[in-house]
Amino acid sequence: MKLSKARRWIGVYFLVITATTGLFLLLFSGSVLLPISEEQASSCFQVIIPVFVGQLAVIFQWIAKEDAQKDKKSSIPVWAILLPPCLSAMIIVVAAVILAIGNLESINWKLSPKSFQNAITFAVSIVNATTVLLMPRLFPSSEKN
Amino acid sequence: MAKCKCKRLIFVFILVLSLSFDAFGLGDSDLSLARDESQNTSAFKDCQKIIGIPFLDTMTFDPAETENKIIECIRVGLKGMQNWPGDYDSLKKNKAIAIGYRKPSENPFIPFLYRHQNFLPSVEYWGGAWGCDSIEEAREKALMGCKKGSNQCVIFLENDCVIANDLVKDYIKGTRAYIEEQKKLLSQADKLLLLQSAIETVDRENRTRISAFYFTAGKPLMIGYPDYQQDYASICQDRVFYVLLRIPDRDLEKYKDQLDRLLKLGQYGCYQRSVNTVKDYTTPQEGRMMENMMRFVRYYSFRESPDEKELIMPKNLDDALSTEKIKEVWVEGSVRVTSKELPLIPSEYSRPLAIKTNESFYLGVEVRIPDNGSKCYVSKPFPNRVIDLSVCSNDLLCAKKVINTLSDYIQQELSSEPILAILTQDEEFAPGEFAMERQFKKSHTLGGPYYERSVYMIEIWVASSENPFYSLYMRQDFKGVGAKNVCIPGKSTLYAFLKVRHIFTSSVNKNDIYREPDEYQISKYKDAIQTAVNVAIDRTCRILQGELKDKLCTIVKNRR
Repeated sequence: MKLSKARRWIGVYFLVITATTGLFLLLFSGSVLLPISEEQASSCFQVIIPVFVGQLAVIFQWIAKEDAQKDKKSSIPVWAILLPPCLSAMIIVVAAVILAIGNLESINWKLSPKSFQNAITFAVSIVNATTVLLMPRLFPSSEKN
Repeated sequence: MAKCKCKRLIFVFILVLSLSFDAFGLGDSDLSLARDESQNTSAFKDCQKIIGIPFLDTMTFDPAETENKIIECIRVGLKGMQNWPGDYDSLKKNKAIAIGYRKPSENPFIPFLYRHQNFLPSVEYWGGAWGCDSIEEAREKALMGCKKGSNQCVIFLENDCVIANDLVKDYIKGTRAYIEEQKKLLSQADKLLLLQSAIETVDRENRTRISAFYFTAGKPLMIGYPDYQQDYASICQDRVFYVLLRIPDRDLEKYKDQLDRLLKLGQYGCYQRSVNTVKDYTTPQEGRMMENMMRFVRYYSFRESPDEKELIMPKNLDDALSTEKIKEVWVEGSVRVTSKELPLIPSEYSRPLAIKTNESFYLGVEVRIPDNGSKCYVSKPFPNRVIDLSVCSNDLLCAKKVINTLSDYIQQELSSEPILAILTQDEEFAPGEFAMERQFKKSHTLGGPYYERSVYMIEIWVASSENPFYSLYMRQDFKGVGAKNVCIPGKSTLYAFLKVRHIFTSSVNKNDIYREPDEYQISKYKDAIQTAVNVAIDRTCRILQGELKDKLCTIVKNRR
């Protein structure tokens, strides 16, 4: 995978996941789609936002300063770039779906809002432990360049 | 005149001084709570000061002010009396006014602890003379004129001088008698350090947390006696009051930990009370139904000193804390529960476990003065009359039919959309009562993802008016109506009253903790219940061919 493609992919990922998750937590708490209280949604929001917005800031700082660069091939394995964000997004989506379905009267699944919060924290932790560490290589600061 | 007033002041001062020493006991009664051997607690031993004892407050009165109060009271009374000459000052000298007054007496309708504050003599007769040759002659004539109407006559005015010694003496004497009685009762009273009692109960029961059920949104916190005041009215309640024990700062954390523990617990402290008597509820008359009760703790904090919309306290505590700003209050309420501990009727009044002000931290002490076994009346106040069944005054079958019809329709409506409650089974209720519930089910009233734990307590009561004396005594026979007479003897009106109480918690997710509802949720349920009640009354009225006007259905004689 070329560096430009990896950067594009990561950039779009963080932008989309931050915007959609944030919006979902802010707008849909207390609804059938997100059956958790406003306080619980707010807690989830506070877990996601510092990490994801921090990454967005790094990405956009790089985009703002860098013009044309040579498009080298990345030495980072493709799976290391793609898989952690994908898994993290998947965990959030699956948790939200189970939470919503589990709240139906006839369903006996027991995913409590507390478990949902834990799932969100887990997803963010994965990103934190993986993709965040790749960020300096994908989006190096100007001085290093 | 100055000399005259000075003498009076000295007299009053000496009387009040002697009375103050007696009442305070100075080492006798003011710390009697602290020294009570039966309450062998560290809190009592460590106490620095007990505040809020009701009748001791009255001893802080200013003698001159008291005298002025009495004089003003008599002046006002004289002005309203027949043949009073009007402007006394303009009458010719060597004048005197005698008055016949009623001796200080207690008013049974004033709370027992405050009756002595109402010993103001009232003027019944007067006699006067003016323009006499001497003051002695004026005095004699005035007394003679007064004694035509009353034997208890004294000179009240002599020229420009007010003679009030005898009146003040009587007033002080009456007050003193009450102080003596109250002192005696206080020494015999049961004193209960509420926090310690609650902790001991919890330890004994060894309870784990259950979800709390109670809400008080939009209602002021009312400090009072929770065991009966929410449901029954009785002058016997005057014999329970609360005082506050100031706690040293070093013990603050210990007590706060205990309070936090109680707050997390939910319900505790099972006890029973009899349905139809407030006197000595622990040993009710044989055969009378008992209600299951439990206790719970609530916490309130106030940024500013709370106003009447937020906190209502008994006068003695209000007076005691008048110079301090209340910041936090921990109270213990009571709630009637089912045998499965489902809450039915929470108390409106709560007793003070602890109060934190800007200056001190206090623990609440319940003082129960021994009941003298008389002067109790009991009633069950009901504000919401829905059916006028006066035509059934002497017809038990007729009354039963009306009540049963109303009961059936209420049940039907509450079991329909959106409330969808079911009848609470296997529970003993008094006549005219039943409960419905909806537990851990989707809330159709709130909609969306919400689930609810709801209990509806329905009470139908028949009485001649909202708060008739003794109305509770007849209850065991038939829904507030005596079986033999149907209507309480001597009364021709008969109304059915209806209360539907709803206690609930809700959760946005069925797998989450059920929490107290917010104002919006409360209003949604309130509207739904009101609609159901209105429909039920309307249907009852139609089926009984009554006339519905202003939400009151009047059963018409020839149609019933």
